[in-house]
Amino acid sequence: MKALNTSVVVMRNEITLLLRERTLYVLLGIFFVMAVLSTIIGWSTQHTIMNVYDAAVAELALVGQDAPPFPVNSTPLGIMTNMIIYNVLIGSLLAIVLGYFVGIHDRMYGVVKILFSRPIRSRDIFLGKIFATVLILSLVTLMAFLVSVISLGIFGVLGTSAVVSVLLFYGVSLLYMSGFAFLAMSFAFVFQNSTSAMLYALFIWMIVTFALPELSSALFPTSSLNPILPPSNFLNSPVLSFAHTVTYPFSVSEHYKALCATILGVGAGATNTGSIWFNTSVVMLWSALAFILSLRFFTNMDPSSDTLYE
Amino acid sequence: MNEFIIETKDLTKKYTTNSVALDHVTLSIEEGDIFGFLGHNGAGKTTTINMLTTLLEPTSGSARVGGFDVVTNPFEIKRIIGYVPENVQLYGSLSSQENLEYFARLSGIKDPKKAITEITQFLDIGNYLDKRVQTLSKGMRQRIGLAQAILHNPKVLFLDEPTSGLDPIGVKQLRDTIIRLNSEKGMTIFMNTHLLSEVSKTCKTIGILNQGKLVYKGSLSDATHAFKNEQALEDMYITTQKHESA
Repeated sequence: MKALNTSVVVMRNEITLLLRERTLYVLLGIFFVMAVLSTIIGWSTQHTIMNVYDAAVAELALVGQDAPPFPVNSTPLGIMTNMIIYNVLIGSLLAIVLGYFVGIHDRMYGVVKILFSRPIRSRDIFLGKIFATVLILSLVTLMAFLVSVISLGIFGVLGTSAVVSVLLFYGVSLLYMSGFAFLAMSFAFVFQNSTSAMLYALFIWMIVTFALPELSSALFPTSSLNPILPPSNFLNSPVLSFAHTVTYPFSVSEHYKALCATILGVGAGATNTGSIWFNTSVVMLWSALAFILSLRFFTNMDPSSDTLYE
Repeated sequence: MNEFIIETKDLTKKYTTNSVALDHVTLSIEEGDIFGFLGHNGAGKTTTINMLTTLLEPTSGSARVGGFDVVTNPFEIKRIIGYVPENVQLYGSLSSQENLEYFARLSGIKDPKKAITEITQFLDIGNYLDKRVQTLSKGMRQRIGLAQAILHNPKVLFLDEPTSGLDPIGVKQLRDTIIRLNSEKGMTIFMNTHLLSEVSKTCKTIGILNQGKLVYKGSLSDATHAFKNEQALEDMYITTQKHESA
């Protein structure tokens, strides 16, 4: 019970410190604007395609031709597709900045020695930091969820199943973003140079967000961000096929995008239960490994040193 | 009953095979003492404090604080010590009050606000509690740093170069505070410094460290007897450093 109290005290302190970081407010602002924009852009896109299709059908009817089927696989939650991309880009960055600050605060302010000279166990300090990170990320995703639900309501595509799907989508997003937060926290715990700590986290973010999806989707640039499949014939190339085989299992963002696409019923989601489980397992494993890494690095922190270079 | 509140026996710290920061230091400090640990930069003073505050494990030898071993009972030691590191910082974006409340809660104090009120009265820092630490002068930051270290009324207070960077008024204020903490609250003070003037005005006993080795330990009056031809503490200090370096 006392250990939990200590963790709660550390968590409250971290949250107070986070609330005084301006960078975090900027990223939060961008994230929420993106959450609002994603549904507006999604609705606008669908609306435009629909109007063009209706106009084409009318033109074809005038010359006596049959209308072709609607070319886009449109679903009610299709207007949220952009939010998947925004989570991959802005959401992950927000998580990195959040994790970085939580990890670096004690050394940035030079209080490591004082902190570790108090009668508290280091695991309780670590848990307090994890609680703070997860709580802030949860609040952010909860607010994004509310923004999305309100937007969907405005555009008239809100129902019970839609709310459940959007909730599930943000739950998976929380798991995915937590991985980046834990990763940035890990580097912030041990790097003596604060810039390096941030750069290493960003480097891995770039690998996960851009490099791995490019390699596993036959260098098909559009699918590196969007939940869409690359051209189906790319596996005929031995080199591209090999690259796909080797990199796809580790391409966390692709698994995240596929899982979200399945949940929202848009784009290139999984087509069978096995794929869904594989996608889910990779995202969960990503977050779990990042958590273990942050625990490991925190344990390796030198409590007798406050040294931090910029 | 333990006569000595701090005891070390052959305490040694090696960072690498060839780098010996502390070399078989045997030391005992009585309860209620104000102990000045002298030595030039890199002599091993901070390493000693790091080990006594359980932040660093010794390579060999042993150390006990309040009867507890630094390796096997670090948690018990942390309950009875306060620590002010060199150039104490604290969380700059938090106010002094927020900093003190945080460390009070981590020290297990049931009523942090009451403890803070008592300490701020004792240190006369009440006017600075609402100010963010990053806006305070170095001297005031040092006092807030001292406040966080004594909130839980520790038996032993470790100070690492406490007067570093302070102006003469700040130095005098800190000196007076250290003496009051010792006389009014009965705290044993372990103070790292290389300012001989401070040692002569504040400490009851001293130890001199040179290149990781303890070259002198005793009372200030004994020191004067031991170095009959050198009345000044400064001369004695320089002599010990020269002898060891030679």
